[in-house]
Amino acid sequence: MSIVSDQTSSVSRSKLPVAIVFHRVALSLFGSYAFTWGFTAFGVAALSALGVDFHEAETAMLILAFLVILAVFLWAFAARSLSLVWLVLAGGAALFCAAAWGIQKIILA
Amino acid sequence: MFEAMWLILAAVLCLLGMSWISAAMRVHWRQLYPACNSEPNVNQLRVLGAVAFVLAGLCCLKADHASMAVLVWVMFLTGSAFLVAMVLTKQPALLRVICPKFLSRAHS
Amino acid sequence: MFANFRQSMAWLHTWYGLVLGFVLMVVFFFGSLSVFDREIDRWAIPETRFEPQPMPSFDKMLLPILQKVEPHEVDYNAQMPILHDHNQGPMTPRLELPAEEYWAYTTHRDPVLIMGAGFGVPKPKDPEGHNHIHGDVTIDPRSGKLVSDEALKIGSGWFYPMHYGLHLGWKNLGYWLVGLASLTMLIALVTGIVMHRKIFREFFTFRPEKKIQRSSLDLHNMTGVLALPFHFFFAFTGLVIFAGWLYFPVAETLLKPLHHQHEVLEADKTGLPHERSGVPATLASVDAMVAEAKRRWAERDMAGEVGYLAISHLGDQNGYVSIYRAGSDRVALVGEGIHFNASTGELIREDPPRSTVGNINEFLTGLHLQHFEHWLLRWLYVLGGLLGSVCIATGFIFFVEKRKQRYAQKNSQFIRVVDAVAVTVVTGMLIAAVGMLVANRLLPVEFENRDSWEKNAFWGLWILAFVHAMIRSGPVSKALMNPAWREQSIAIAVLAVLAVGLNWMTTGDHLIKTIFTQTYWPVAGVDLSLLVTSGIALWVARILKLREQASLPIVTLKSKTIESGEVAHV
Repeated sequence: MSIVSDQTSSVSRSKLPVAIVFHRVALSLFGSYAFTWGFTAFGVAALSALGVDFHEAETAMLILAFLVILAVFLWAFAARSLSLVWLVLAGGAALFCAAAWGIQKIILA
Repeated sequence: MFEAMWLILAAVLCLLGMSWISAAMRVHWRQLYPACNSEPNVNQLRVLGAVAFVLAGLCCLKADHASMAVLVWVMFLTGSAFLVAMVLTKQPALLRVICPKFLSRAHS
Repeated sequence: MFANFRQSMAWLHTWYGLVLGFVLMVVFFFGSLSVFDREIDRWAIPETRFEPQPMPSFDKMLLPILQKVEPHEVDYNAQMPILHDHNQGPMTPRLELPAEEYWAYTTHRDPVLIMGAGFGVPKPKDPEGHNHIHGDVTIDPRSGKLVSDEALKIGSGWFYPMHYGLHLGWKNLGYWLVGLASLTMLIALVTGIVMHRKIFREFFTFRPEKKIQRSSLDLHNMTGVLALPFHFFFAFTGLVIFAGWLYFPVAETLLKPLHHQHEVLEADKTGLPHERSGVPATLASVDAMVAEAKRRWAERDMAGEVGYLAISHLGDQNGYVSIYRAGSDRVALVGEGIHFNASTGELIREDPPRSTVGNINEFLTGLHLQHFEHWLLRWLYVLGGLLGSVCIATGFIFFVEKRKQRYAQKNSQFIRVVDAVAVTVVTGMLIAAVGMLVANRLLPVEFENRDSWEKNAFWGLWILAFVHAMIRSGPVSKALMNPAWREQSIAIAVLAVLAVGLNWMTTGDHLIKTIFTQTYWPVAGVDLSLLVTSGIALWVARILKLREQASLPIVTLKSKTIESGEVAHV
């Protein structure tokens, strides 16, 4: 199956290497999911630490989560450098999760 | 019963407003009046449309709890836009009743 | 990967739109049907064709029935081995499980009442977890008679779960696919706006007289743009509904300790016990509690009926009864909960008004789940859902039209398969849905496993539609139209009329009766919708016939250039 640049007819039809497409598709999808997951957990923990009711914080973050994942996903697809996408998504997810875990420890201590 | 009346009024206002907004677009104005070489009075039509939408929103508020009214209003706007698009496709002349010729600008 | 931003957005729109569009089509169409799920239930189960009823007496009618409810065998077999701690001995037999909670739920559109029990697992692996095996029943609240389990609620029990779960239970795969499709919808809306340079100029533009490629794109843009708020908010709120449970369960995983601490503190604050005490206790009159709850709602100027009633920690001193108001007059769902001590009947707590965040969340989920009583808005939602379906379907058609010449020259079969799958999820899906209604009326009442035969009919017809679309797809590889579009439209028209006729023959409820003499809108509405569907399908078949005749294979270079020039400015 050839992947053809659509709609923009001014650009010549270029074949995209399948491996690169797969890499980008998988990274943008799972990366933005992981990033958003971490972001949500961090947000809930941080808001709780600031004294917001747990369920309030959860509800607010879950509504926000889908706007975040939409933006992050689109960015991951449009960004030039794959390594930058890797860095931001994987690094961000890890940092957010670690921070959420840390804040939780402090609250419960 | 009053609720139904307010809702019908809101629907009619949305339909009027959407007709005016569409007629403010040159290509659609020409669909309404293909014979004469007039231009729509864009500002007048747009203001009319906007006023109709606001009034429609107020009618929705009269009929329902505010949270529900906003949904009804948005869906009325969607529905009326679709209806106007279909009328423009099939029978654009029908919209002449809503958008009389005096809403045109003197051709310069 | 792409030369520019616009190109990357176009790639996303095209390929995500194509692959997940097949799922989205199913979600949008069955979502539109789910707006009237209870009404379709009435059509499918004739013995429940009566007016909606308020919640009947709990003490006199519901309690004796609830005491006879058994844990569901399927749920027991699936959950018990997971929840039970095998180190503490063998599993407690199904019928010996103790009931720990009761619930009953009804809406302003439900003649029948659904209710059930949650049974505790005596020796659980994780004592902190939600260790419940469930069992539920549907009753006629006028008499207390049970509605047979085999009477499939085609609306709320088949079309509605299809809408959010595709009936793919394994590992919640269906939910994940629908979630991904919803995200794709959001992506497609944003990327579509980026691609579409003339959103306002072509706001009302549809040119059916142009080539299919152009006119389908017009319709795609128009239905997408006009109903943009609907599309966005329904995809978005659909995701929010399942967020905490499935898509981002942070509170159940990473933040579980924090969540647990909150629950325990909350139980202290609200006085609603988090755990059982272990001291047995009896149940006071629930009817008296209901009367008190209604009095308190009326005091707040929110007089209303009971929508949801639940008893937690049943038979225990820590037991409590929660009574929620049916939210039929506003967007929010059931609410204004009032809680009573189950053994003394004393008031424990009235839920405070929701916070701002809570209100926003209730509005977002409520506008999607639509428990409100507003028939006009329901129909407007159907319109929105159908506009969405048109948007997706025309997207497929545009995809195929744009490429079929090129693939025909390359002798590639790819586009032929895409077209056949598009036929399957557009007309094939309608055949499956309407065919299921026909099967529902054809299968005798006493037929064993009647419900699974109805489901078989649904899947069988859908597969048949796919096979038919594939077999007939030959012309597509010659850049012509697949005649399956037309043939399946005719099949829809025939099946829809058949369904209405069979409803008349098997129940005696014809349209003159259901509209005029003994007005019953749920059934009349389904019948009328079927007839309208049939009419539209015939009209479409006629137009397709004309198009087929007109588009004989004269493909000159010249007409091709004109055509590509025409769509180049997309």
